[in-house]
Amino acid sequence: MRLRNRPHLLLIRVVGVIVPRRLRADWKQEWAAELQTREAMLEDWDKLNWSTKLDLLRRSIGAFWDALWLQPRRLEDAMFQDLRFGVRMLLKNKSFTAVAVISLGLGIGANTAIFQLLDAVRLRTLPVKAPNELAEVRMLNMDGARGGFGREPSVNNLIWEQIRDRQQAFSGIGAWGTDSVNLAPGGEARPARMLYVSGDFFNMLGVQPALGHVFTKTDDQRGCGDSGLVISNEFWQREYGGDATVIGRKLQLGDHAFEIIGVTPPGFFGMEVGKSFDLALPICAVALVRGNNNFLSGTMWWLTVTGRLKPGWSLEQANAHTLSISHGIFEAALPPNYPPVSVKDYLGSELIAVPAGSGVSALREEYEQPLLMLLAIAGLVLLIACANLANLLLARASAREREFAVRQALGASRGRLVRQLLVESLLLAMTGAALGAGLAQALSRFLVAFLSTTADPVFLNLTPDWRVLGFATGLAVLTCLLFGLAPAIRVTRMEPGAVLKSGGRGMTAGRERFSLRRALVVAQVALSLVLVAGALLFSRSLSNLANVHTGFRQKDVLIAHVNFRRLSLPSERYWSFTDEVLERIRAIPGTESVAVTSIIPLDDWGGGSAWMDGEDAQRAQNTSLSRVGPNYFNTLEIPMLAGRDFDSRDTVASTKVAIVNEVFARKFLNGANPVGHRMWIEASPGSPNTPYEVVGLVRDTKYRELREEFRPIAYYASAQNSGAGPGGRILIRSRFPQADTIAAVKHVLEEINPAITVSFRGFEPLIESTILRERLVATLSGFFGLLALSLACIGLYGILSYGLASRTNEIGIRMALGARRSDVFWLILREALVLVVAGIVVGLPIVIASTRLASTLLFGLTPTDPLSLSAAALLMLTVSIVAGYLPSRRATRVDPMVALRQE
Amino acid sequence: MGTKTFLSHSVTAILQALASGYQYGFDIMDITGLPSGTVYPALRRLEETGLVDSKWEKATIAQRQQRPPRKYYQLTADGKQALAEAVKRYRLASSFLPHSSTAKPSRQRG
Repeated sequence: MRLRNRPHLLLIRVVGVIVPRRLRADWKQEWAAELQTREAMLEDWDKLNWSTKLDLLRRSIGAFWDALWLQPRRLEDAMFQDLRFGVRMLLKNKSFTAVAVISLGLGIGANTAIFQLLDAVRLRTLPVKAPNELAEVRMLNMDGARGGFGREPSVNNLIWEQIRDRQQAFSGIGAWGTDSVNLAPGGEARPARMLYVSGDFFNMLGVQPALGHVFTKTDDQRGCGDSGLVISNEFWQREYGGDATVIGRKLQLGDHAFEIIGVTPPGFFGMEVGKSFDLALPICAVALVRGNNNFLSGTMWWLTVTGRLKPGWSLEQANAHTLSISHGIFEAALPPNYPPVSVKDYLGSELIAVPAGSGVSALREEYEQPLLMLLAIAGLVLLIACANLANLLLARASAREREFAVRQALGASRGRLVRQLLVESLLLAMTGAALGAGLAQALSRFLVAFLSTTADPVFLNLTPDWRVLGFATGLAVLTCLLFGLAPAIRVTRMEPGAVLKSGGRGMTAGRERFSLRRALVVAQVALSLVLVAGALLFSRSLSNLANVHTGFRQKDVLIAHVNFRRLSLPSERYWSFTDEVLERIRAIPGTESVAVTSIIPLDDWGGGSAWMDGEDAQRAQNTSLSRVGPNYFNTLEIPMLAGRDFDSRDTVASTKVAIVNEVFARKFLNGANPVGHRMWIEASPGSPNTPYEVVGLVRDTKYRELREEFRPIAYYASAQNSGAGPGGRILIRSRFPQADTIAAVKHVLEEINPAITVSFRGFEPLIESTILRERLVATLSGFFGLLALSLACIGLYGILSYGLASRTNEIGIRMALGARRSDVFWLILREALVLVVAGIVVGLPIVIASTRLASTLLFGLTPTDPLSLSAAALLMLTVSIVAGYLPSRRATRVDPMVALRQE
Repeated sequence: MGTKTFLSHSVTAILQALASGYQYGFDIMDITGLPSGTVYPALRRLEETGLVDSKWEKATIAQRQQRPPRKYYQLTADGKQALAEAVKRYRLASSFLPHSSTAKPSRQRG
């Protein structure tokens, strides 16, 4: 054909290249026929005018779109065949497919679940408008802060008001703090989570109400009355069933009924990741709800300040700005009666601006490192699963050697065979990933439930986002390459002729392939050793923590948090009323001992500076403080070493007395008996410097956390507290089950006055909840260790069985020549032992290098704890014997006659 | 035909052209004024959904004219029904499309 001067026909040839091969000939013929017909209908090509030529060319360009439209058919060609064939192959080997999909699903699921948690606490930004413009203004350090602390870091209300009035860097700025409030009118308390916000808070974040309206600047003025209550969407659904007529209804909080004015949008949980809120009020309303001014007067440190950067302002500029105005702010925000020794530190405090787009989170600080470590552990499990699969696929590949040899001999290209094998692997990986993604949803919810306690529920948004989906897909592709590529390449590298000639068996073939499989098993054992050693370290560390000597008895102790504010008693009556309540509870059958305390050990804390009488107040040292009633030490079985307990002699009017612990005596009096000495406690915003006479010495107890060394503690007498509130925490030790005690206490309180509210917690579960993080790490690493162990076991068993199958001949010959059964048994078992010992030798240095990274999470043992490491090695050896036993026994059953006849 | 597929304006025009006896891709382009990049993919889709089927022209005709055999398209029974429904929807369509009675385009050398 005269193509050179027929550009339209040339074009068809060129475009035809991209048409799927199966359709190409027909396609080319159709277009060429049409164009030639059209050409023939017209004049001779050379005589045609250029516009007609152009028209023909234009039409032939249309062929390009036609060819493009046919592209999906190209996929059908090869890919569909591969997929169909892959599915058929996987269905043919159901047990293999099940093992592969389940182990991959577990591996990918575990990784995705942990990643999902990390994503939720660390990577996600807040669900508000342009979260990346948000910055938190916080104190550089809290050294100058005295008073009560709601959270750290935080500022007090006076500092917040000054920041609001003086800053120039933010187009909008707001403050928020959290608290808890009781909704029940009497009886057992029904706690609701409060979010106190400045007037401009919602507006600054760009949070639009789902219903009604939110606060404005004018709602948040000192001394405000009822400026309305905003409820969270969750609370609206839970308490009101999403009823739109909720606006205008009243809700009683403390002494005040607040009118509901708005509902926040779904998905808005406040500013703290991992927490949520039920009710929001302007900051000024905290005085109404709490019935005192502590939260507004600068005594409480509880507010977090968040602002939106002005357009054109960078974080660095904002930081420089807040630093520069710090001095003026703290000068103006110095609370009256601030402890004189701390004034200098207070005035010298500095404010900085830090990014706040992902909010604040105690959960994040506590769990980020353990989660990253668990992700690494889960990654190793996946790696082991991949090694396992690669091993299984290699075994299967040698079984399919003839199939591939035939296909190659018939003209299949190597690329085509590799693609076929990779498609099979990808199918496995994708099915595994789908299973894993489903498992991850359940697992991450289980983890959140694990971390939640009734007193401290965890709220996390776990709907998978693009990061989580990308992570799972990425894992699937990666694992597919990891376990699929090597077997695929290996299979196609063989010589088809040799394979076909060997007739499917041989004494020497496959040595090299076999060594790769051995290397994989050694790697599996080494990695499993790391996981098993880690799991043992973490569970021993947990048991160390759980059995740590606290110095007190937590068993059988119930904590009742009693509040009688609704009785509106005069404050002088508070202590005598509490005493009455204690007396009634003491009379409940089974009660062994009852006492009040201001501080529950390991749950909350308070501290101050103290010095002994006659010393320089400037050399005061820190001590932990607690305010307890008579019988406190008896209730918790803390031994009294010298002096006396608090009793009825101690009243508001009598000399102030204190009881100290042994560390206090050592630190402040070089170990001398402190009874009879006088000590001073530094002024706090609530009280001036006060002298106390030490009347008793008690044994040391844990105060803030189980991990700490004993610290100095000074106990005051509850009866001498003139500033007590209407309620307290009562510790009840009883012989009877706690459920019975709870019912009895509720009954007694109801009898005294139905308006008393009470909430209960067991002391033992409270202490257990303080080691939740360690329990999580130990449980998960234990689970992963077990998984790794069983995967290694399967891998080992697989390679031994395969080895046995290919050595049946050899064993037959050996037995015919006089080898005993025990010789044959050892022949196989020895191989298992050699592989595992090699794995242990390779794994031990990895263990020692990697466990060091986790040393901060360990308690009471070193990362190279010899007991844990040797136990892990021993466990691996046991596994080798378990995995090796069956194949070894099968080897002894080989009948030499049968084996040799197979030849 | 079971499912009711929605036919676009241009696809209706192509069906109408086929019903009027224009059987080759290029003729359909001429009569409907649609570009080749629309007509061919549409024909392939119609063939796939069974509204149209195609046949190769007899080799003897092609040989006589020294070119490859052409492929011609025709409406199936389903296609005819779909066209009838589509025409009802596009009531205007018939006014600017040729009817079966109009002369077929010449296939002779002009």
